[in-house]
Amino acid sequence: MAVTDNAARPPLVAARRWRPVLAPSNPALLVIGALVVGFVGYPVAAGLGIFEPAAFARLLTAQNVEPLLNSLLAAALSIVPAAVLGVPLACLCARTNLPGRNAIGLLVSVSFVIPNLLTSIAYVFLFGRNSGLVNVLFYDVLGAPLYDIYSFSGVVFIAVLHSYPLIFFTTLSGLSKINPELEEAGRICGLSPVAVFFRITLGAILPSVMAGVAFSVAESLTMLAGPLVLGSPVGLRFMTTEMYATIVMNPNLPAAVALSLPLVAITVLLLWLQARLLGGAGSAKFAVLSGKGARNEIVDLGRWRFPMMLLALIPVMLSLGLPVLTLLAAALMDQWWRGLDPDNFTLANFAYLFSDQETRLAVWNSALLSVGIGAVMALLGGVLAIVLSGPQTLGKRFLRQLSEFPLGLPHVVAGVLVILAWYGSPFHLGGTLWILAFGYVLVMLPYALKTCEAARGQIDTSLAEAAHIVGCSQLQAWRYVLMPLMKNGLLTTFVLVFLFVVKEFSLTAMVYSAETQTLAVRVFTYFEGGSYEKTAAAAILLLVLTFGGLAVAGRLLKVSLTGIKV
Amino acid sequence: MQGKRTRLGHRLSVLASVAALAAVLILPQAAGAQTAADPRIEAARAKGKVTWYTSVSPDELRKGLIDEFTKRTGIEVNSYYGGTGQVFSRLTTERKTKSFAVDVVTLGDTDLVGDLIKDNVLRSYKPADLSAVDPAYKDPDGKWYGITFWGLAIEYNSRLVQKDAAPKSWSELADPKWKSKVAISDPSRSAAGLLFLKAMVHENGWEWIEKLMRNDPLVIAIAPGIDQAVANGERPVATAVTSYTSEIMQKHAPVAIASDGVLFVSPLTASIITEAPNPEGAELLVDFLLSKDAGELYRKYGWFSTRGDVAGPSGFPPASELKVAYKEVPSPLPRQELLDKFNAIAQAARK
Repeated sequence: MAVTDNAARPPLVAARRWRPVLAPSNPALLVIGALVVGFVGYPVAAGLGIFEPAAFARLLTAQNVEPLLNSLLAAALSIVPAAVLGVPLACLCARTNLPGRNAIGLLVSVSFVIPNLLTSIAYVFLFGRNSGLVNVLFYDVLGAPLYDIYSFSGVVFIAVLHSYPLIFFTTLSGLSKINPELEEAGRICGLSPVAVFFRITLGAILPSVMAGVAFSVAESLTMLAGPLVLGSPVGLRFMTTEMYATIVMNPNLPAAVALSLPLVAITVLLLWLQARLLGGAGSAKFAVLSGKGARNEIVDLGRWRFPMMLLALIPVMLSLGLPVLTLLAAALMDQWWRGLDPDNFTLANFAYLFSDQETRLAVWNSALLSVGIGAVMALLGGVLAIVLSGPQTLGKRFLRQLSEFPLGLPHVVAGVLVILAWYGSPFHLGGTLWILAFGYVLVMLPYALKTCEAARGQIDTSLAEAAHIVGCSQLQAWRYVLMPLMKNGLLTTFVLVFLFVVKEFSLTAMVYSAETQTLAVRVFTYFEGGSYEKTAAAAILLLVLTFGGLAVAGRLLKVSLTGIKV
Repeated sequence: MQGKRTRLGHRLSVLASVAALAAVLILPQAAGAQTAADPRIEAARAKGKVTWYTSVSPDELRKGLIDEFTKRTGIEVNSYYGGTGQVFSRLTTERKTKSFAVDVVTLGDTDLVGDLIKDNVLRSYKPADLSAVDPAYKDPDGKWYGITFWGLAIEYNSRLVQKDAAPKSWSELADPKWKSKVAISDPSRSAAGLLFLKAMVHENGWEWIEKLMRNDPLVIAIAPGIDQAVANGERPVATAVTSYTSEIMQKHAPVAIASDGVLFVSPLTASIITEAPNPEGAELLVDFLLSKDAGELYRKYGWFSTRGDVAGPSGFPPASELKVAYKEVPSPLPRQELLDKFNAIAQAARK
């Protein structure tokens, strides 16, 4: 509805505000809009079909206040330590001559894949109040357990271990794209390296760090296993454990949908706050890549190289080393409860796993889905970030918010939505890998968009304009200018989505069929069957698959894993 | 209360004994129920696979059942495994999309089976020969059958607790001498915990539940976690789901049963879906799940068979001799109210 009446000409701003939302002149926006509405809007609308106001009313009762407060508090308490671990670790790996920095980056990525459930169980093995290996060792000295993992701090600890890799990834991605001229300018002005880092580097990578913070908060809020294994036993209730009860024990789908609303609302609010803090979506404030780049300077740590490496290895040990050693020990044990008795070791669990046809099929499905969805989401996220950049129209804002909506959506509820949307008539995708793929697109879209937007935001719009001036079409400008400049962001998206999909369990367990099992589902099937030993063996296989997947991806994409700058 | 327990226990043992006798007499015919001569086999094969949504675990048991069924009938089974609530949620959600691909469903909660019956999801089926199956596990309308069951016992770590000192009665679990030494199943997240709560409220009232929660029990949401906690000594005493406990005892864990019998029993059911695309295959699968050979498989993996002609799982007497305090656990309040009240008590006790 273009305004043409000269006599009462409204201000230009108002005219812009009322411009058609999806102008036909922007076919890219139309196509991408249709995709987002199809993959996110449609399942959400299908979910509204089973929503009951009565279920929502129950949400507001006193019974649900404490779980909500506990969930919020755990997420809030975990975020500072996660950032304190993630950001400096990324800086050490990307910008210093830290020995083994590439290996450390890879280990952090792999640590993200260890299912929370198994990390929690591994820590019960080490710090269970009465029987934990470490507590038993200290019992004679202290007369009391050293630390009781069955506690609120135990839940927060697991949340930190699980969320710091997310901040690490996004920070690393931000650092790889920063324009070194900015830092150079700081140094010329006489700033010390530390001052350059805090006053220039950190400021420039803020969108990437904040994207990681948003992911971490969402991860902590929607984490189920930590609260279930470490909180529930001592009477600590969280939103996710309450919701788990409405699906697995007292099936009440409207209640599950209602209980997920506060989590979704909180993450949407946080994303909005984040956008405000960063100067609004589509802001060019962080465009640090405007012309030819130069090599980033690597800081020489000098005699601090090895002490810093030891320091950097602490979080890796906590999130990967100790859980993996515990898992490996358990996978090689005949009986978990017997502990480290030399007679207790066997290869039988691995033998069972390799002879199991379902597990072999699951490995194939997991590999196919994680690589495929990783690639699709990198492309989709990249295009979405480009299309949604620039002046913000109502349509773009709507698409961004719709894309971000699933961030706080617990995956088990997403599973219900996916079945309602795609399983039966008219699409009949039940029993195929497509329904799982569509489910992963739904839950991964916010991650892909935010990671790619952080990358897109660092590129000055003048570069795309320059491409248009020399005669490039819009697609050519994307293909030859924007996408190559966003390469690191796209690779980060690929790795992030790959890692998420390979370990995804809650949604998959709701949606899978006999032919579409994944390895993560196998892990939990063994667990529910009561075999910690086979569970651990399957989890080790999952880690090997992840490690192999990252290595193969690195080779195919013709970049070393270190070059991926995860 | 005591009288009721004894009467119920007696009734169960008489029923089971009759069933056992009948089974011995009829066994030869029963074993031949699924021979190649069965005309349903051809019809079922022509329709392809049978789809079974099931809560049967562990993995080896489920696979053992499927392999044996396929070996006998040549019919392949498409299975979806999940916990009871997950299977129920999946089944009801996909039905909302007008998708009817399931033939047989196995759940571990008869209340949920009742919900399915109310919604007309299950169809009647009466297998030709059920004489060996305990009548308590046969729905008169043929909408469900109990194929196997577990019970709740008291277990203890035999290295940390002397046999004489272990708690013999359920009421003892709230005794202050067991403070911080007991693990129970989570009522909000496991059938074992919910039924335990119902039975104990009925037995001793809410005051006893308050006393129990002040005793700082470890409330475990995931069933295998309980036996691991007892075996490794995290908590020396616990409420035990017999199927898991029997398995860990078979592996010589320092775990023993303290209670005389079980507080209650709870079956895994088999039902045929009204719109089953392979009704003949569904009937054959239900026949097999109720057969003696399937019963032996349940037993091997720690479960009780509902048949009188199958012995009890390792560490437990045959079903016919098992003392059961509550054959049906009375519910003092609707499920959600019960859980809300329990959660409020648990929270107050922790403070």
